[in-house]
Amino acid sequence: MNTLPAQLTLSQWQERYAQLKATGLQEPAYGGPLLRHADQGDKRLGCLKFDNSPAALHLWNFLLTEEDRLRQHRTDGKRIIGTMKDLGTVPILVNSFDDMVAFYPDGAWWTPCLKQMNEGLFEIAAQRGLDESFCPVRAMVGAFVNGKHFPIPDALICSVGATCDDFSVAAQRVESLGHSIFWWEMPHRRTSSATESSVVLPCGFTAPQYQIDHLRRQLQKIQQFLEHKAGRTLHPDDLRRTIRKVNHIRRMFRDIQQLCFTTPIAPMGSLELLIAEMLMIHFCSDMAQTEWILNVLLSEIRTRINNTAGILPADAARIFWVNPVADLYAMNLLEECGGRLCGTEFLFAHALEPIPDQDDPLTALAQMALSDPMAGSAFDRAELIARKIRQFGSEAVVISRIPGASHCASEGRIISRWIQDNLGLPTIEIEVPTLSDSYRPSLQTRLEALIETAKTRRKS
Amino acid sequence: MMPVWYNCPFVPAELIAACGLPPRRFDAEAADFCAAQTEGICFAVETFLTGLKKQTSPYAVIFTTLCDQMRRAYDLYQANGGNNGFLLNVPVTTGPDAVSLFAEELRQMEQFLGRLSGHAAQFDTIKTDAPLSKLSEPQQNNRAKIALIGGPVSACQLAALEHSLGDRGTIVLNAAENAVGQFRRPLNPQAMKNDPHLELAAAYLQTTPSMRTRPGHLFYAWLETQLQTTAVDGILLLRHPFCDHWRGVEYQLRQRPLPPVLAIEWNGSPQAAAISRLEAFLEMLGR
Repeated sequence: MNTLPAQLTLSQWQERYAQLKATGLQEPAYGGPLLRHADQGDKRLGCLKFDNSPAALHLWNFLLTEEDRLRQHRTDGKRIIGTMKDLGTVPILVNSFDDMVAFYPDGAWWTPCLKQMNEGLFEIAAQRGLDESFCPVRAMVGAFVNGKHFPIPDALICSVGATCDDFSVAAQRVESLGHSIFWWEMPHRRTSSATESSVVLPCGFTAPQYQIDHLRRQLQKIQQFLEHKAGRTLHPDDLRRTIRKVNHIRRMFRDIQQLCFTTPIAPMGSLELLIAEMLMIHFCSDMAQTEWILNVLLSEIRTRINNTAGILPADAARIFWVNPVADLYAMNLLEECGGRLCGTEFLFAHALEPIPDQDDPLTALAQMALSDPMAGSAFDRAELIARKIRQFGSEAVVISRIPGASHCASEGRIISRWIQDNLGLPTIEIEVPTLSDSYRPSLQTRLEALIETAKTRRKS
Repeated sequence: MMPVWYNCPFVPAELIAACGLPPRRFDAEAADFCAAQTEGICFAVETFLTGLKKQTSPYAVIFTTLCDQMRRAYDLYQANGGNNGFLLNVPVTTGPDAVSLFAEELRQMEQFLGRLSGHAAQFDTIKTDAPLSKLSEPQQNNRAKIALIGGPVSACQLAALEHSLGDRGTIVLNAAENAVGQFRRPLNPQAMKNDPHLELAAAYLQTTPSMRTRPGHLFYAWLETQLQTTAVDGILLLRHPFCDHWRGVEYQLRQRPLPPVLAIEWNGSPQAAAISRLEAFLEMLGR
């Protein structure tokens, strides 16, 4: 069926789904109409607009069935390892064991948005001392208490040190509920002094060698912890094999971003690009399916580019977005205001970069871990953002503050000023709450002003 | 000599002094709190930055990574043109790897200080006896015995608290963030000779109590031990606006078999609401 790219509401997708099935759409086991997720509680879907491609359908279905997948893994005898905070590195170690699967309980921060806050996770967290002064990741505590949004992991591994205060407190609260945590120390990434041995990291940062050595020791202890759980040792070749698979997936995703952010007409919507990026953190508990989904997406994107078919007007302003949004609707709103996503820094740039090809896989992973944008200074992060802005040709920057987050108040103003001073790009800071409906007029006004400014600058 | 400002109990002041520079522990003045108004930024961070801005002669400053807000205070300091600053990475775990990491950080700090003073640290000048021991207030009958935690609690805040307690209460255990250095173990003379950075790292990291240490139960276990040796009637938790860590501690304290807890959020100047709460707390304690 040859259909032009379009964005559909949830109810419009029902009709589209019926058409696709009638013409022979083949789906993976987790397939089905999107509406069923809303019927099962993901009410926010009713407020969103989705890409009309089968690729987008698969992507959404894959994302929204992770809980089922985790429960199936458990039924199949796999151990579920909750990896927390480091966003991208420890799952590679975990997934090198055949009988283990990694996921981030941190991801529960989107649950209140998807459920339109009908699930009560924030209320449960508040009853445990984590009120609205903490960032939405406090929902994770609620999910551990009620056990309704993911199976309670068989083990938890959490990075601490150069992390946000909100997460450190929330993770500690999880431990105080009786869930034992293996803590590992993430140092603040420091610029090497002239007398130190220095390493260039995958994201372009540099760090002193002793920090890499420290992280290698930490990762080795995590490996030993996992080996103890698994009852067997991990051969370095198993880890190397996983790294090769991960690199293949990461390169595929980089192709998706490069094509979508640089093609004159946006071939895919911002919301789907956000979701695809989120898969990169722990592959939504299934690396093979992540690879398949990204392949299908990439194919759809290439077809659209070849047909000069896009999903947004050709003059959409090219926006770089900093920080993930608590409310998925913000991505739709950006497009409604005349923008398109052309660059992102969602706090896990290190999970998108290929892992260095090193003889010692643990050293390679240590370098990845230390590439975490959150582990360094706001200036480091601003420079990373600037590199990406130049790569993608972004015209303006949105810095999206996370409500309550310990890093946003200081970091946002530093990044904003740095970008304005060094790149001369228009920049705004906005705060996107978990449900942004009541803030929509203000958010819309600010986004429209930014986009208007970006478009005006084209003429000068 | 250029003074070196710091505000964290994990900064070894003796290392600063050994490099020939006078250590200056920051203590916010009441007026500093008036400038602390930025939404989302911890008042302890903002008062520190405000206090530094007021310095009229050259100085150096040590920031630490003990919390995310203070870690980013170093960014803000640099963004506002501050120089002679050093960010000391303080691990929040306390195992051997963390001690080694902290020892390396202390070597970096020594090099930074050495560049300012022109010479390396003279470790033989470091006294290895116990840190200054905070004497408990003489116990006075009928006064409620209070343990103070939270903070950092500046001298002006402490004075305001003591004034509010009046003759109905007295602070018998000051375990506020800027006072916990008193509980650190003494340095080992032989270990200082063998590897001073490692010994400083081990002593500071492993025996300075902090609610930021993970696993978090270590702090509560330490507090419970203190409360076994110093009987108290109530615990006063003073926290600054936008401090996640102490806010997180409040609930945990209430879950434990500890004396009653009063948490007050106090931005420095005596506030009617905070004082009323303190008075009600004393009343509840029967004073």
